[in-house]
Amino acid sequence: MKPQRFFVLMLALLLALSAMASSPLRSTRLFDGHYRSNPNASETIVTGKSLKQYDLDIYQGLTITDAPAEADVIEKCVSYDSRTAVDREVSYRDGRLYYVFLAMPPEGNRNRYVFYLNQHLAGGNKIILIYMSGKADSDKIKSIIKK
Amino acid sequence: MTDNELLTLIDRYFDAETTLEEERMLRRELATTLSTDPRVAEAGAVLAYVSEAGPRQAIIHHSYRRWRVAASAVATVVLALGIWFSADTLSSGSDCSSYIACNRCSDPDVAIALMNAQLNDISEASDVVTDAVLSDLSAITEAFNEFEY
Repeated sequence: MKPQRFFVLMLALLLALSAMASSPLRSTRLFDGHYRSNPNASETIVTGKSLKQYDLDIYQGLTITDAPAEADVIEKCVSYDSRTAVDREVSYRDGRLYYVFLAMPPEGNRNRYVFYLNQHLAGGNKIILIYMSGKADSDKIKSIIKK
Repeated sequence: MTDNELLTLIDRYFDAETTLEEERMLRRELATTLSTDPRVAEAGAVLAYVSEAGPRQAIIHHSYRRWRVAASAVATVVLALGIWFSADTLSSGSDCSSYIACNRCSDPDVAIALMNAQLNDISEASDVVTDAVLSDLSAITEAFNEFEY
């Protein structure tokens, strides 16, 4: 085999393995910058030592205020991800998703969690989507929430 | 000699697997071949250079192809390590940023405060859901007890 072909083949194999290693969730796609130009939205990204105490690697949070229509897209993404969740807590109100906690299939030794809340269904004005990933187990995550 | 046989012989030459007789045969074929394959032209140029440079240069060239393969393998490994470490760096560093009403804010305290506010809202909703579940279970338990014999 020519060296050039060998190199290209190895590069393609490497990229394929990288793609296989990560299985992005539909919910996490919403953190790709889509809402950064939305005046009703605030997006938070926290990584590294700030999360060490929680045994987490990454925290991504999205809050959309006074925009109930935005729940349509987010709810669809969360519903899609819930199909493959290994653990879930789901609450509906008026036929819509009100509160969701999902524990997703881990990637290697990293657990992944999704929270969703539509306060518009309970008299509030926020839609919240949170994604967390790290070594923390479900009990740890729930203790973080309950603190 | 067919074109395929010639190309095979060229590959064996660059892999330093040819005998002296095969090299002589290769030179004769390259001198007379009508093939327009670029690999044939490349081999012809190399052998012409080698014949001018002498035996010592021939030895150096024979290992050239193997060095190219080795260099490709090393480049692949370096690239793989680079991707691995860059991915690892994302989690080992510390980064807090937030976007609020279209404005980027790099103040970590703001990001942490937003995070805590979001977690607090989730906590309240979680309590509401838990209370609702417990209430439903309590109602079912009460109804069940009415039917106890």
